[in-house]
Amino acid sequence: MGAKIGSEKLGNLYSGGPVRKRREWRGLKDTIYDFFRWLGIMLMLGKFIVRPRNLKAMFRYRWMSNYLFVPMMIDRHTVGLRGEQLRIAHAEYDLVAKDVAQLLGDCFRADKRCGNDKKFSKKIVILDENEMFTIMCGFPNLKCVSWETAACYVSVLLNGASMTHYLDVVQQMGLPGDVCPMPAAEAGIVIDDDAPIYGACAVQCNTTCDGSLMGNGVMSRFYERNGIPCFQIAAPLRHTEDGVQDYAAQEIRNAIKFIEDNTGEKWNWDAYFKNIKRFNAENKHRFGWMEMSRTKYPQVFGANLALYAETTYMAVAGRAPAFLKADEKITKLAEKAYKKQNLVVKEHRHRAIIWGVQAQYYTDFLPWLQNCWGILPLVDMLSLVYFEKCSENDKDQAIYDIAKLYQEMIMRNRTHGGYEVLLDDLWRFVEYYNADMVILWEHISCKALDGMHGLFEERAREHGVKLVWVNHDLMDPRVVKRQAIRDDVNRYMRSVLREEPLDPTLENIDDEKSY
Amino acid sequence: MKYFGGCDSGSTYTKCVIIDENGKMVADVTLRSRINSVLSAQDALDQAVAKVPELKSAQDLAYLVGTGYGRNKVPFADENISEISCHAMGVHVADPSVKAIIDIGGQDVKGIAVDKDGTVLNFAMNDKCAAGTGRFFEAMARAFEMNLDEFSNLSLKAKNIIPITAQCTVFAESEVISLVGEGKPMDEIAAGIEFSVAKRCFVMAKKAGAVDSITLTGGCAKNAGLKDAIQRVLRLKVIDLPIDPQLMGALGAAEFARQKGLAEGN
Repeated sequence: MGAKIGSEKLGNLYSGGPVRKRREWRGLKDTIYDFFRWLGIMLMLGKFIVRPRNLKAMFRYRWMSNYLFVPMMIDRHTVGLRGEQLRIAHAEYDLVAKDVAQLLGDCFRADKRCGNDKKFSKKIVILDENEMFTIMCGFPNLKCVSWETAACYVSVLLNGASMTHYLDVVQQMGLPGDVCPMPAAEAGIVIDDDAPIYGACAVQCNTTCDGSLMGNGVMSRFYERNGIPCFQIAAPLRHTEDGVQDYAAQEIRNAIKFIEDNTGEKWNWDAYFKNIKRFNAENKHRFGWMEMSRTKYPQVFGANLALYAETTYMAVAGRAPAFLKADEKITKLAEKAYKKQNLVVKEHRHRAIIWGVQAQYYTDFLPWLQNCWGILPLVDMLSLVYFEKCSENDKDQAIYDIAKLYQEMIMRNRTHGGYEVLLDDLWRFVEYYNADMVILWEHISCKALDGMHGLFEERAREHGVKLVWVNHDLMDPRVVKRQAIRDDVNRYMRSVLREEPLDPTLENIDDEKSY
Repeated sequence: MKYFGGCDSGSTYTKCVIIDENGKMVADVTLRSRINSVLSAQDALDQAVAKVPELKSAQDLAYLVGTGYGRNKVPFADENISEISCHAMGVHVADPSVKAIIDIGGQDVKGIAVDKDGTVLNFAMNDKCAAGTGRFFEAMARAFEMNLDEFSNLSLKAKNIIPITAQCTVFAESEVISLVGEGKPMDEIAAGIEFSVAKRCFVMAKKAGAVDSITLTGGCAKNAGLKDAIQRVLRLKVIDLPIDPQLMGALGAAEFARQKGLAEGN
């Protein structure tokens, strides 16, 4: 065993239990580096838990126990990586972990049941998990804290089975069992009385689907019962049309006024433009990484791009300088690796676009694709968002920019807006990235994609592109297991392409219980 | 003479085929699968071997390929190959003109597009829901208090079709019982059932890229009523195979075994 990429048979690390047999051997230098980063995360976790209010939260909220698995989650997403690639992944994940720790800290400081800091709570605006935080860029004295992100979105990344209890709760309440598990789980958390209570007000958005509307209804009732006024931004569905933009901008003005009225704070244009400049700069880095993926030597892609870009783009939105610094570091590392023509796995066999909504309980599926079959997940649908630059000095235009960001936020930009943004754009990206394969996530509870099946097949045939359907149920691993997800690819690779895996030990792995 | 075996460990039936080095089928066995798929596969193989006088035991086979739902439970096979590849190869051996297959197994439905050399061009499958599978027909036949053969011919006599609205096996069974209770003609209800499955197959066939003709494989391919419904719903010609369509997976596995065994000099 040595440092060489592919030298470890990665499937052998799975024990069938919750933890793997041992840490991956990446060669002396990389193993030591990885170990110390792991130690750093453990230290952060330890520091977080010893604070009394956080410890209290650990016992009060069922979903909090999932945060014990942060180190394992980072391990899953760095599997097989070496050199600059390993350092890029750690630059991303370690910062996201720190940001989430901050989010949890704020959450429990304000929470009535834990820290109960009333003064601090009055400075908090609650936003949805799947919502742009750009609207907070002009309120430098306010915090925006999304408990949904902490309780649901991140929890399921850490432990794939973390939301099954809440899905059962929501169904016991009488809600249908076949809606999207994300809003269903969020509603389940509220119904189970497992959501922190804090905040001066809440701003929701008509996110992506009927399920989201259902979830938002349950949550707004919860807010109002706890004396937290709630505003719902109704962003237009046909976001590609000019005719709806005036209305969309007015919704943003209304939301800003709502926040001003309920917090006593005034919108600050200087703060907004300062943050939005950073947002533009962050996007520029992201575009640069994605441009690199057009070449033979992509460096920032797959799950690492997807999870980091989601956090930076949606939740940070230019408000935290640390993310821009991390972007600069990642760009430097990527350029260095690119110059050296570094490969991420020993053989790049296929160049794939990942389309559709990923399985939240199996985000390390993309590293598996690389390591098992040599399929490079160049870019994913969720990272292919808003390519325009926001105005950095025009106040009127800025409102329209925020409105556009809301309409075209992650997922919403593809599930709404007509078939062109979902169907036609895919083939444009296939050509742009010179991809020969599309991995099409089929979230079986999401109806937005269902009507398009035949059209996707037809277009794939026209383009001569290999189209692999991968079934999942977003947050419910009981419906489609991780191995069943892998089998969709295994079956295609063996039956249609008749290829042998790069690492045969990964083809069938017993990871159902592993964190 | 060298002999090669293919063992298709299906969810409902286990099939085994032995071919000689010229590709001629010399033995075949179809058994109801038991809960232990290893034992089912062993039984099927032993019975098939017993039909070939030149073979004393399964060890005398030059190469053996396992396939099907429980293919990884065929521990004595030299290799396991997916049932999709084996069905395509089996059909290619039986009739090289076939370009698209609908395989209706006990627990899943697949649409497979076949290339000119018997390899898979594309496929689509439903393995998440029992509707439209062999299990579905078993449930329906049970509701009619008939065996599968009687049930499969029943719809051919129908003058009208009573649509079955429920897609789910469990709900469809309830709907059928209600219709029977209402005194609706049994043959017309049966025709409705066959049509509902044919519509499911339509999705698979289109996803796999079927253009003008298809063939049916799997146990349900023997269902005359379904074949008739598919021809009418899909408006595609259904090509009959010269060999039992339920054996296609095992035959394809045996053909792979023959190709691999001869290439390796076994």
